[in-house]
Amino acid sequence: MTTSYAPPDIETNCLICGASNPSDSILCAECSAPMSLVYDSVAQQREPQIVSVIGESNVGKTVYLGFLLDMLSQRAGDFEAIPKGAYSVDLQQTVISHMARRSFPPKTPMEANQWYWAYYQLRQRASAGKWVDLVMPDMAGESLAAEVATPKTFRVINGLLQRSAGMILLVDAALAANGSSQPDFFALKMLSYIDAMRGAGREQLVTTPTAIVLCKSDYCPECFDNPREFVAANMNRLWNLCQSRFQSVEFFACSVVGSLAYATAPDQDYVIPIPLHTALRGVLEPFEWIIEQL
Amino acid sequence: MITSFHPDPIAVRTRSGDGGFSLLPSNFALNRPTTPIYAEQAIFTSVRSQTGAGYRIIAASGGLKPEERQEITQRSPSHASLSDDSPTAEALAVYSLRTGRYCVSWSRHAGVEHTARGGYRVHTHVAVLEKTAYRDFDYHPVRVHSAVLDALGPEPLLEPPANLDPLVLPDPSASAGRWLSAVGIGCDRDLVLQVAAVLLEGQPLVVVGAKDSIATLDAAIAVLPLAIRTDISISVGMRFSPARQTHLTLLAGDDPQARQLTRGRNVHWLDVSGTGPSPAQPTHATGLRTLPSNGSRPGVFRPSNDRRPIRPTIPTPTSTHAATPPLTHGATPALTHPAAPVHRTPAAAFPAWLDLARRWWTTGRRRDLCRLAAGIDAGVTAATAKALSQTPEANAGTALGTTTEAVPEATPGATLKQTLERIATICNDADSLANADYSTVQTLTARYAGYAPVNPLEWELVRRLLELAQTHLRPRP
Repeated sequence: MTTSYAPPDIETNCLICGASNPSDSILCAECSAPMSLVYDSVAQQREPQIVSVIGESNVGKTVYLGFLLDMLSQRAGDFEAIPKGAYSVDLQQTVISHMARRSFPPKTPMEANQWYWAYYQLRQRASAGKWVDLVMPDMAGESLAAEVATPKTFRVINGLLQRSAGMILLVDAALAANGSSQPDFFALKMLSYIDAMRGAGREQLVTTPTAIVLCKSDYCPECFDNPREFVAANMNRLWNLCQSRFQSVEFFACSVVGSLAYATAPDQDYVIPIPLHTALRGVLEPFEWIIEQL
Repeated sequence: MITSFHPDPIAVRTRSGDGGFSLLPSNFALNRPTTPIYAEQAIFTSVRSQTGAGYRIIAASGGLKPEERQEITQRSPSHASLSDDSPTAEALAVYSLRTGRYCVSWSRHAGVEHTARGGYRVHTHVAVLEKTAYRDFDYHPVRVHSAVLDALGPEPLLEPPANLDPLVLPDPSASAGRWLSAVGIGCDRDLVLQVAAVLLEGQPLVVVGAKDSIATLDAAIAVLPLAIRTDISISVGMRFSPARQTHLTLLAGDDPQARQLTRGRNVHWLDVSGTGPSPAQPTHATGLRTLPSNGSRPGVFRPSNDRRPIRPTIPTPTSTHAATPPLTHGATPALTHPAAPVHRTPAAAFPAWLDLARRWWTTGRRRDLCRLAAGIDAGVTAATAKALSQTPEANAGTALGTTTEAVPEATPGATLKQTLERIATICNDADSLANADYSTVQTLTARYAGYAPVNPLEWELVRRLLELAQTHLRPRP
């Protein structure tokens, strides 16, 4: 809940880590967060709230966030969303243009200066709700994994998760449905890290709204019927931790790809997944829930 | 009044192209390790395994510390981070670790990235050396890189065991002569000396468009005094990333994003490709920042407050030799972009050393230059600083003059600059003996007979100078 907003020093302080920077620098020298976030937040006279989309490598964070932003730009769910700064549109443009050509967007590099950042101002028009400023970075899954394994490896991640008003944790439902424990273990580590970072005592639960999103649910449609039951059955470790340590958590299923093909060649030892068409389902609901909790 | 140090007694007199004599013995500053050189190693790449997928350290030797693994993870290149998009791209990075060890990493493209979302897998093999082991390579990262290539072989390890044995590196002394013969061949001399000049001043530098980046780096490091080589972090062939915090970045082509990222960060740009907006002379955005003199890591780039308009300066020679021509590329300076901030060529803070380097390079004495630079280690500079701060009479008695110019007096708290100036002056005077008349030789002999060396290297150089002078004074048969 925002109380009085004291605009940061536009000359120097990074919005994420607070480090001092020259007034004309593009990125924070300490954490590589874009300094434009500071200038845009001052222009709005409102401190933005950070919603972090997290998940392991190759789970679909870039695609999810790109489609989510594009849906918001097109006023899905009766949201009115305004991008602040042209850089906020880069991610959705990259995702949409790649998917239109039937290819997935490139892997997100670990270097933070290569990440996409989106700063959006939005509200729900029907309820004439107040405007909310949101910052949503597209982080690399490997960077998240490295930060979870050894905290403070990537200060920008630590800063973002410390300041997040809401979190969307993507897990690979297809792998989980196939019996792999990898998504469960990663989610367990991720939430354990967040729990430890928040420093809450044994009786205090983590209050940050956390949406657990089962991605690639087109492989296992039963996720849509009852995501909670799916998680309890197939990702029991994650389920138990959520029950024990998180006060505000909800489970969702989503899917982006309508049908998938695989391409290879005799001289290649790899297979290229090809999204033949998109069929968005369940992309907006987790975000709607997060906004309602803010 | 030469104090009784005991340096290497072997003196080899060789004629160089300009008639001067080499003051340095054939084995000067070439290290002779007699035991194998071990390095810890790690592999950072993206493979799918039972326990995970994506870029991470997939294998490492047991001696690698957790904090070192963290730092390697922070600094290693990941997807699409090599500046060359071809399947055979390679890159080199060098940096000091917080634990006090040194990291030399070799990155290359190794097939398609396993998720097949476009682009190649970046495979990085990292060697971590103790300072003593790095010293065996004269703190020269390209020599380490060469040794690592010899030790590893051509194929990247994509399915290594999780625990690796330490890397055994070949004895660098075996290849030192070959390396000395080849260093600098085909390099742009002006570019090498410009890079060395900026690095001597401790400024971060980005070089764009060098014809052969590794060879340029090889030569630039070779002409730097050993004392400062460990302070310099380097990346070659990688896209610019602020997280890597490198002092020296060599890019194959112009990178507009990198220019934006370095704006206001006191980073010099040297564009020799002829396609970028900046002139051929080193430029920087605003102000200057030097490295801490204690050799600590550079940390964050921070601006100075100096925003005065500035003009290019050319170093003034101080030796008897004819003034060396100013550093130019033969091309007229390119126009600066009208929207760019005021640029300037940084004033050369080490004119004597750079002049000597230029002259020796031009006259075919690159080997002597490299060996002399390798002899100026931290012990030499420390001894200089200590001696000059403790013995004021050393200052009074060392008003050395060349035949035309007076040498700057050594003052207490001598820095690297003073050390290099003193050494350069001695070398210039020694070289002048070749063409000096009898009275000049007598003058120099008298002057250096009363000279008080402040470090072992000066002692050795002066001793040889006097030997050479005696040769000239001896009556001819």
